[in-house]
Amino acid sequence: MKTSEEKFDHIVHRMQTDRSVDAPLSAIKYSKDLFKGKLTLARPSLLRRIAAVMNIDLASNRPAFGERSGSDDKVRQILFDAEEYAIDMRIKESENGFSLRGQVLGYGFENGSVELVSSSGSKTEKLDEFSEFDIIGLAAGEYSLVVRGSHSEIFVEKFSL
Amino acid sequence: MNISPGDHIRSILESASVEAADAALVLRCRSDDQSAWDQLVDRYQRLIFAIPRRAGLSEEQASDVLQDVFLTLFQKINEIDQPERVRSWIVTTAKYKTWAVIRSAKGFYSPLTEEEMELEMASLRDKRPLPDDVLIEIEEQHLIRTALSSIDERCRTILSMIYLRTPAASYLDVSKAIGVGETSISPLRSRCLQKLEKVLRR
Repeated sequence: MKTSEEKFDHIVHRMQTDRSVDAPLSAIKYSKDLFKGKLTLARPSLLRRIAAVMNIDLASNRPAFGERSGSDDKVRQILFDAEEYAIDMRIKESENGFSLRGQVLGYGFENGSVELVSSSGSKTEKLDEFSEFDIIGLAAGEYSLVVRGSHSEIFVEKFSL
Repeated sequence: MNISPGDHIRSILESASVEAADAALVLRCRSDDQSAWDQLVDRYQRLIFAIPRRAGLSEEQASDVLQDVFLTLFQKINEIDQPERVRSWIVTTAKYKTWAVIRSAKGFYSPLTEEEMELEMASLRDKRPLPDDVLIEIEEQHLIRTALSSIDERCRTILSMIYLRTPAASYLDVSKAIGVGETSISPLRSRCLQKLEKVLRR
């Protein structure tokens, strides 16, 4: 059994040898923002919910590795990983605003739905038999997205148009 | 000074008040309480970040581990069987993810599941770079920081000035900072250490 003095010595020793530092603010912000996606997209659901993580963000006119050249269109391509699934998303800017085309890569999302949420409201579209979607006439801003399939739903916490 | 983990340490690591506070945060997160999640992140970010850093990972790699741990916690928040043991869950997850980064950087096969990783780690003779005593030390430091932030401001100032500054503040400096006579500092210091120890013991 330690005496009080030994206990205090131990606590003081641990305090004085504590070299830990706070994590970078960006990492803390990312971690806190994970929950905002949940609140935005929360729905009573028995589906498995999967958070998508951005894998590649290719700005327009920048060819992806293995491609011969970038497209002339102002298309931005973003790839998200979501466990065994992935979402390939293309954002195109035109005179009428932004369009968002995408495809869920993986089984179970055929004829599902996609919901796009922003601070001004939400918009839901059907996925086709190839799990593709196309949403047009979008204003610039920050959006969250959820795609729902037969067993799972994938949410993209936040991205900007 | 020869410091080794003993009964007292184990009792710190099993502090019921800390576990109850952790459990309350997890349950509030399950009820979609953003402020509880923010508190959980604030409470554990430094502990998690310390684990890969102590294992020798870069700041960027440690940030990735931190984000990955919180992403996993976010995904499994409703599945954690014992919410009061969330700290152990966090430390174990951070340890696995740190190992995965190290093994992947060395070109080794990285087990895909926690169970697989646990079996793999149990079979290792050399536990470096994250031996258990290092993890215990990191966890204890986390608990002492948490306890220090929960005691009154005057005690926090006294203990921080005497024990956390380099060089340590003199009793005269401390007495000026808190507005008491210099001769009061030694008994105050002892009382504050008792308070801190009491919080850790609860």
